[in-house]
Amino acid sequence: MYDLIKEILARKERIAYRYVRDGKEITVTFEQYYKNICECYHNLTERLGDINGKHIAVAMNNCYEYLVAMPAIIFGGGAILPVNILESVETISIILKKADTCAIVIKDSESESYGIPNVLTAKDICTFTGQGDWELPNYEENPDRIALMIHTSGTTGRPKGVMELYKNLFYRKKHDLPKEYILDPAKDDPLNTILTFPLYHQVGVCCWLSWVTRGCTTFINENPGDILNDFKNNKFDFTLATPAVMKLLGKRLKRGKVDELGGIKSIGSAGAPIQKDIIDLFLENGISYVQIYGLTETGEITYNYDDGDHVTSVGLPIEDTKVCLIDGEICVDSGTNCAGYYKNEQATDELIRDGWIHTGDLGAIDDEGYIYIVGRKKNLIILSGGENVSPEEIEESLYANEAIKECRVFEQDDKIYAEIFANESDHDEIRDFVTELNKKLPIFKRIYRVVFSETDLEKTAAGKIRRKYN
Amino acid sequence: MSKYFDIVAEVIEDVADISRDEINMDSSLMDDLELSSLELMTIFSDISRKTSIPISNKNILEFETVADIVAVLDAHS
Repeated sequence: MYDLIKEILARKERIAYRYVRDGKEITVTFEQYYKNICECYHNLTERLGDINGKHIAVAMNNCYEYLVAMPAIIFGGGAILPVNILESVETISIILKKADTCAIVIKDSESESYGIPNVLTAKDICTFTGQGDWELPNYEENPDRIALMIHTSGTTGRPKGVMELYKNLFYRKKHDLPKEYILDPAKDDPLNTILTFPLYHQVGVCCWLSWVTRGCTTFINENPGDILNDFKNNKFDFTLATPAVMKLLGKRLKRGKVDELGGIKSIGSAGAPIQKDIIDLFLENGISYVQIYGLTETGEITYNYDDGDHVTSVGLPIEDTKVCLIDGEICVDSGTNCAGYYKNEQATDELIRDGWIHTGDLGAIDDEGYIYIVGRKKNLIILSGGENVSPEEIEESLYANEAIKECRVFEQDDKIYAEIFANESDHDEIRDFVTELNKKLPIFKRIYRVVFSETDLEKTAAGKIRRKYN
Repeated sequence: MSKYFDIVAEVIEDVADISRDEINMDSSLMDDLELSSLELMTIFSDISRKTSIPISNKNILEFETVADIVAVLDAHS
């Protein structure tokens, strides 16, 4: 295990974070960052009492307060539950209740609080006087406690809470960094990064840990809609992005506007598969590329910084991570593996078998040990924004319309499609129903196109609707 | 034609790299222009910046066509 707080303290006057509030740029040194974490911990205990073992949700867009609350909760002895605020209020409310959430941190008093009894705003816990001499408790005392619980969509039912213990999260230093920093763990040259990955996503947390550990100066993109504007107005060396952000930035390159990408020298992607033509756009413009592969359940599994011969691979296993194929499925044994799903023994037993996490990804390994993803064993749609979507969940919503006899939700060209079998006379009504349903669904779960089938849908031998026709 | 159509079309063209000829008032944001959710958020943010008219995330879910965006901008001015 390593001690993140020691890494923060070692950087002293170096700038840790930059962000823009009300048109003004604010900078925070690592020293200030540490003091703010301690004061935030103090503020949390003033309101909630001892937070040891308590589950505290955070439901905000990325912001400095989020990056302070996260270590304040974790090193204060609590467990943080980052919330995907794009999800529906109903789903989030159920998730948080099932996760025994005792308090929630929200942006301001106008924000949704999902029925959680103790509601704290960012201002409540992140108003800093700098007056006290606050300290964190002995955070390494119990490494077997839950430190982080991110919810991830499974193939069936509601999202499941992935229990990452303190010892999993800090098992080893993370290196979500450019090639030269991965190859030389002692390299300490200041690196300007921009945080675009949401902190409710495992990769966002890994960016936070990697970049703080390596003393990077991180610009915080607080509004996803402003990513292009942030790139245009700042200078960056590196970012780790979802394939969706890579595509967005790639379109600047297609339009000959490389000068609007902040002079970025290297970019990495994670969270979902990426097309080679997008990677090529960056390479052609002299921007190097790294790929990181992992799951919420495992943390990072592989890095690939060979953007020459192995550009389509997800890379080689990280340090002491063990990877093998069992019936073609990628399985992982690592100290960063989670302890399972919160209060869900059955799903945990399916996930972890004989100490190996079964990823649900089908893989191939070449003679040099490079790993390639060739398909999905589990029925899960993974979109370029890094979101995991369960087709069954959307199909359940569609079946609320009784005119729909059969349906199958699938992904095509990074969009969600629904194939529906129904009487032709009902098609118009079903289209209207889907339009209304889309208004209620989170933006990433919207059905982009309905395809009507003239016959009933193909079934498996067991009589279930076949997922794929190939 | 609303003065805002040109601004909206210009932003969509620039963000999503879609030819201006393919963008008209009736274009469906999802079905015709095939904009991703991140592109939509970027487009709305750019339009807000250019027009100084705020578009809330709540509105984003209600827009189906280019005309819907133009209508909100018209209503504000």
